Amino acid sequence: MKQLLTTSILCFTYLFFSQSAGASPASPNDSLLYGIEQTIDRKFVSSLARGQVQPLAELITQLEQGRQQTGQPLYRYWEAYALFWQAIYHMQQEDNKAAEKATDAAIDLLKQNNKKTAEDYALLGFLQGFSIPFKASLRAPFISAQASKNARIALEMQPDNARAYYVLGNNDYYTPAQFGGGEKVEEYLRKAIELATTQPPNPYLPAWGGEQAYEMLIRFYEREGEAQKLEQTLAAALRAYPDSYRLNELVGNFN
Amino acid sequence: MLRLCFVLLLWATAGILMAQDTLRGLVLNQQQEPLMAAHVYWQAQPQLGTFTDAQGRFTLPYSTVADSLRISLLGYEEAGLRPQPGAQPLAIFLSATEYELSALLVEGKDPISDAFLLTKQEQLDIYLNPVAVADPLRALINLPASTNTSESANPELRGSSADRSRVLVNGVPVYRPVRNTQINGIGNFSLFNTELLQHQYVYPTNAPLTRGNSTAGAVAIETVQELPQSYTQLSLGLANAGVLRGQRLDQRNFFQAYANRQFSGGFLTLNQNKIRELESFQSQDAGFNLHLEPLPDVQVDLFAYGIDESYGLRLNILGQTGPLTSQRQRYFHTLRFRKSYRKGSLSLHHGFDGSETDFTFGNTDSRQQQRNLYTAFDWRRQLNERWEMQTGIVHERQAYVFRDSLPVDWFRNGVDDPAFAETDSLRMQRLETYRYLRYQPDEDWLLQAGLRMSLLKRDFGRYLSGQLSARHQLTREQALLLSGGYYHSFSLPTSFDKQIRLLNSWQLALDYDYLSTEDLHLHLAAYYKRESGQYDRLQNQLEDHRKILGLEALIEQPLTTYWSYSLSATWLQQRVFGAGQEWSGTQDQLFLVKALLQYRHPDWFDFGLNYITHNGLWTTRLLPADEPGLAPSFPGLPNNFRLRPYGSLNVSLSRYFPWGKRSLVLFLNVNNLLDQGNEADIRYTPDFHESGREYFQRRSIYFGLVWKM
Repeated sequence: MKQLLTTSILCFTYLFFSQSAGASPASPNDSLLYGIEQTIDRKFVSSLARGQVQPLAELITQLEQGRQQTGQPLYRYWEAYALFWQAIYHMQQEDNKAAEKATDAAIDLLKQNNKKTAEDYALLGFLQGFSIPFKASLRAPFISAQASKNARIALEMQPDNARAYYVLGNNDYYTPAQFGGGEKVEEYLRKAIELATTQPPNPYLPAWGGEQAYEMLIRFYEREGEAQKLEQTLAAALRAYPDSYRLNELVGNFN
Repeated sequence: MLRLCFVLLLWATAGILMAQDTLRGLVLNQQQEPLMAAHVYWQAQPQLGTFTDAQGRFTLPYSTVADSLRISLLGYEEAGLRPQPGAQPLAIFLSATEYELSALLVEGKDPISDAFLLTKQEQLDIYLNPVAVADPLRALINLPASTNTSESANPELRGSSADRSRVLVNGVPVYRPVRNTQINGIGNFSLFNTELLQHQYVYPTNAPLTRGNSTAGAVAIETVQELPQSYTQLSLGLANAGVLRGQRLDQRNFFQAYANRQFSGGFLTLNQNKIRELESFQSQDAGFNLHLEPLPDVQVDLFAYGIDESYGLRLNILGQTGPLTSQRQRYFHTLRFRKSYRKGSLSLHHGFDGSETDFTFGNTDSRQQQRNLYTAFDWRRQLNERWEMQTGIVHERQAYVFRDSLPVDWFRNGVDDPAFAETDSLRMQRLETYRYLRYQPDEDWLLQAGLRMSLLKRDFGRYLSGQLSARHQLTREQALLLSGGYYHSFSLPTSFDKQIRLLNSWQLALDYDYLSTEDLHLHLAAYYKRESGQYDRLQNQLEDHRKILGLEALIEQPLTTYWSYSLSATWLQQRVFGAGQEWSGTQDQLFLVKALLQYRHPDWFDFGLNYITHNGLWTTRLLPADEPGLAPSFPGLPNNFRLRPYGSLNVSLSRYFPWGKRSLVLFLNVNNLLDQGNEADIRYTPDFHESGREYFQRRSIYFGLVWKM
């Protein structure tokens, strides 16, 4: 579980340092939600730099107000996503209780949505998987099963959802082999990468998943001792995300 | 509409100064609400597209070539049009995507009657429950709603007898779903294998009228819907050896097949001084579960099971001590065909259940043959965002044949006492239809209503059942459920009560749940029931009715990462009315307490300690007759004597050894660790003088292993 916790932190803290695949080609817009994924990333780094949760918390309040005022379901999605980053921030501050609370709040927010889209299901599945280290080990198999189920529902609704494939790959990676884990990590993550790097970006919609899938796949090859595949994937990852802090750090580790 | 016109007018005015080669528009849903983040682009130049803002607005330079405008947004049907220059601003309406309810979504959906649920137990819940010993029906024992005091796996829910509740497999009822109920502590007690189970829904009262034929609760078992990988599982225990194969046919289709053989030698030798009444037992059983998805929206689930079992006991029944033997062959299958449509599904359920039983004790020799045939159609439809409906029709035919040799006098059942031969056959059929509505006005309220009526007048006349429930989410952590209804079910005949009776019940229940983010779960419940139609064998007459009043409390919580506990208490009042008199039911003033302490460490072992205690059951104390040959009498009213308090401490221990894709589980169970003598009834001499007590099972030990590869 510790390994999962550490990897989860590492997987997501690098996002800010790299350019997301979802850069928008469209003209700037005054909406809070325009380019929101990058905004959340910036607020997260700002919170880290200042050692205060305030920048992220203020953004979350704005998103909450936007949700209440407009009823736009996208606000709910991004509020949950921002809460996840708040959880990461608390973990960096070694306040796991607060991190758990923020994660649970994000999960609740998505669960309360009666008209979930594929993206909602994918994020819900991801957050459920992320919450496992906080929960009693007795509950881990149940939460993991729920996370996978939500990712699969996302794929039923949108078969080309990169994030849903990433969630499935992530879940399979951490499932012990005797329970059938590890069988499909490669397949799911390769699909996530393919979709994340070919889909046209939308500044309002999520674009995360591709970079994280690359990193997990590299870790998977390392675990399985697949040196050649590891090398090829690392090269491809750097071509797709040349500015990625985390991927570059991985290269350093392997060298 | 006015709002839309106003927005368009304002925006058109503001846009007058804009370049004439720019297309402007609004993207809205069918309710005329603006849609943000819609991708708007010319088909030939998608990379030059734009996105709608929070007000649903967009601006886009005209294409240099004659081109179609495309508008796409997640969750909506993609739209396309060829705008005429000058006809701006455009108002474009998108329709929400109506997803086909795929097999996964249908499977992921709870039944329409989910508001009546007490709990939903997943396969892992059962495996990790130390009381369950991997038996799905035994997993109910620790629930406060389970008022089972006979150590049987047959569910007794909230003070009602087991035969009033129903166990369903994929929507098809399986009556008396237990094997050798007197034999406790060895292997599976119910007929079901947890490996084939995805989850089970427990309705402690107000069983949903979508299924009917229950005047108490229901347990609805759903078989597994996916198999991640093929595997083989071997199990070997003190009294059981079995093999199970799960075979994937392709990504969505699979089967599971298993066979077990149960034998008594090792178990009886190890526990010989503790289970004196049990002389032998054996069984062979086999099951087959097939899941097919021939099309993405079609599911077929077939579960077939057969068992050949027998056991021998040495018991004292009404003063006679002697051997009791029972043999039984049973086969049943359940078949469900489910087709998903837009916003709904259609299901066909079919079931067959046939058995032959031979029971002998003293001068009683009872042979029973039973055949049940069940067919049901269900149609479920989401009417709109708030309303959902399910309707259906059920036909069931039951046939029984009894070939008995029974005591002439009920109190003289010795081998040499007079007996008479009797052959009877019974038939019953029911044809019922139902309508069920679910209304969710907002996130905090859920209202449900059901009506069910018979369509056949013959035999039982017309009868109508109805139920209502309201669930209110008080806060994020707290929920309240009020439910009630009037129900009908059919009794299950025996050699001593060869009639099929129409039973009925009024029920009212209030359930409160608190679930904190720290996984502290608190459950409180109060319920009242009025049941009619029950047969009283001792008095050989029908009860007029019985009233049941119950209170429940449960607290459960993880203590640390590896430790957790649960504690529940149930108080039950059970009063019986008949022949102008009132007396205590067997469980009257029952105070039932259950405690569970559990330790689970993935790298070490699982340990469970469970204690169940109650203040003793009522029974009828008989007095010898004044003259030989006459029936014994009982002073006062039935249930005039309370047996001593009951207590049983049970321990389970298991260790899991992963080994690549293989695994080995070693397990040990000790039932009634303290070897407490729990009274089950009064023991008599042949002339009905008391000679002691009959006891429930004393301490017994069972161990074994499961090898998965």
